[in-house]
Amino acid sequence: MKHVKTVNRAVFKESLPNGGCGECRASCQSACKTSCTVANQKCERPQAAVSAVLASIKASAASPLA
Amino acid sequence: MIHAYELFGRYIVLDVESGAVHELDRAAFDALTAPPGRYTEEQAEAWQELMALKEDGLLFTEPGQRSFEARDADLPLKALCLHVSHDCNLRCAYCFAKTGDFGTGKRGVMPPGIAEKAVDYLLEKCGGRTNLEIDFFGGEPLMALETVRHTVEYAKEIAPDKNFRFTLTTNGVLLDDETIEYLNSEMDNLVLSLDGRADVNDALRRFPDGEGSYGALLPLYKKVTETRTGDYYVRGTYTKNNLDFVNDVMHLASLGFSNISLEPAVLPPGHPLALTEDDLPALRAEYETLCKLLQGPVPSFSFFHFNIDLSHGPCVYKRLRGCGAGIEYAAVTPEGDVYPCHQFVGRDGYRMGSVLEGSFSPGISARFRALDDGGREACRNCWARYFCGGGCAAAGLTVNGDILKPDRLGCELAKKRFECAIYLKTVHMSG
Repeated sequence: MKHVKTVNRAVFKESLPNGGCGECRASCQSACKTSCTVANQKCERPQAAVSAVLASIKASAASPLA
Repeated sequence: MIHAYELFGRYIVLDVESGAVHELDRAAFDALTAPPGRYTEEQAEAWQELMALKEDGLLFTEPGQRSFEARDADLPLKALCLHVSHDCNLRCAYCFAKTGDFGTGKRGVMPPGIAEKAVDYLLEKCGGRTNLEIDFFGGEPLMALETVRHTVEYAKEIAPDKNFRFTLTTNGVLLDDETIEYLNSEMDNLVLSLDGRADVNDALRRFPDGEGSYGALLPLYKKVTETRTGDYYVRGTYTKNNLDFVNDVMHLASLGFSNISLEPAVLPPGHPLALTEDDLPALRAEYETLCKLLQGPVPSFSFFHFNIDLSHGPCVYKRLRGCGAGIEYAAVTPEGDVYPCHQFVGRDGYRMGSVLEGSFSPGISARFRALDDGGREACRNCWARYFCGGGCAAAGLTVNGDILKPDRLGCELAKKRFECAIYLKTVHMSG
């Protein structure tokens, strides 16, 4: 593309079908700690597992996702 | 929904529902913001590219179909904030914990037996989760080091199959060589409190006799961080006193600390140190200044609030749920009482159980579940909702008297930080 450079792909869809595993860290936003937000966090699932979910979504022509 | 903005000559658009981020040229940026039908030839060309992104699910994405079964799944407890000490050896002017006792009038430390009960409580309620967190907090937790040591030992012994992550937040006063060695060995993360420049720190972080704490703490923090391999943050609080807080960040960086966090104080309206909306332009400018300082190829330090993981961050459900206070995260007092988080300790109507009784109030937990996904009206149409997770419920209560009403000042600062963080990612990823 001439006018647009994609910096980050659409990652939120990966987790829509199956929900979260609940293994990620707490993200306390209280200022007396370190005001962690969800943006500061990493997913605890291995990247390979996340990529596999994404691939299966892409492969599904009948995906209900937007 | 999209969020398009310009920072330091770069044009960035975030596709809110998908998490996609694009860098645009001026024509594409103008095409997004110009009235339809009035495009120049170049803008029209750019618009075609933007429409192609939409086709690919990378722009103007509608909210996806969420699995409500997944969203509403049972969320067992996974993190405890242990108030091992309701006492403190500093008298900081902005302390929400009322200098350690949380307004309870009772100063003291958590007996090891209560800490054991708290670990049992966590294990009983954690379901099948592997990663569990215990955060040693206070007051000043090093005033209860024996309890800290006992808790770590007990947790590891009783549940070797769990992955406990221990964090300790300290004012540093009681650090000595033996304690530093212990903390560096056992704590996954250490949070070391210091507000920045000596005069800024000493105006508010003082010993009970009024003396400032900077001179005593600095060599101790250096010793901790020089020998530490695990995570740490030197963290401070900024207030009305130091709206030029970037000078404090840079001061901490100049001392050699590589992980730095500086937080806006959350104080009741009218408090002399409270930040107000009139301060927003200056504070936004400060974050931009810091952003510019960090955009070089190898920044010498990491500023916590600019850390963002665009490609491997948490799932949508976690993003909507936020901190999980009162649901999967709770605080325990030295007496064993359970509260939704450390900020609610001592507040009327928020005691939700006891580790001695094994109780956990579903009624209070349900109030916190209402924060999830749409519970907070102000969040429904906010572009940053998947990055902040709804903000701090306690800050909403402090500032607006309602956990469902976010602290607007905090929201505006968070949004500026996210813009800076996404900008820095864009710079570092696209050159």
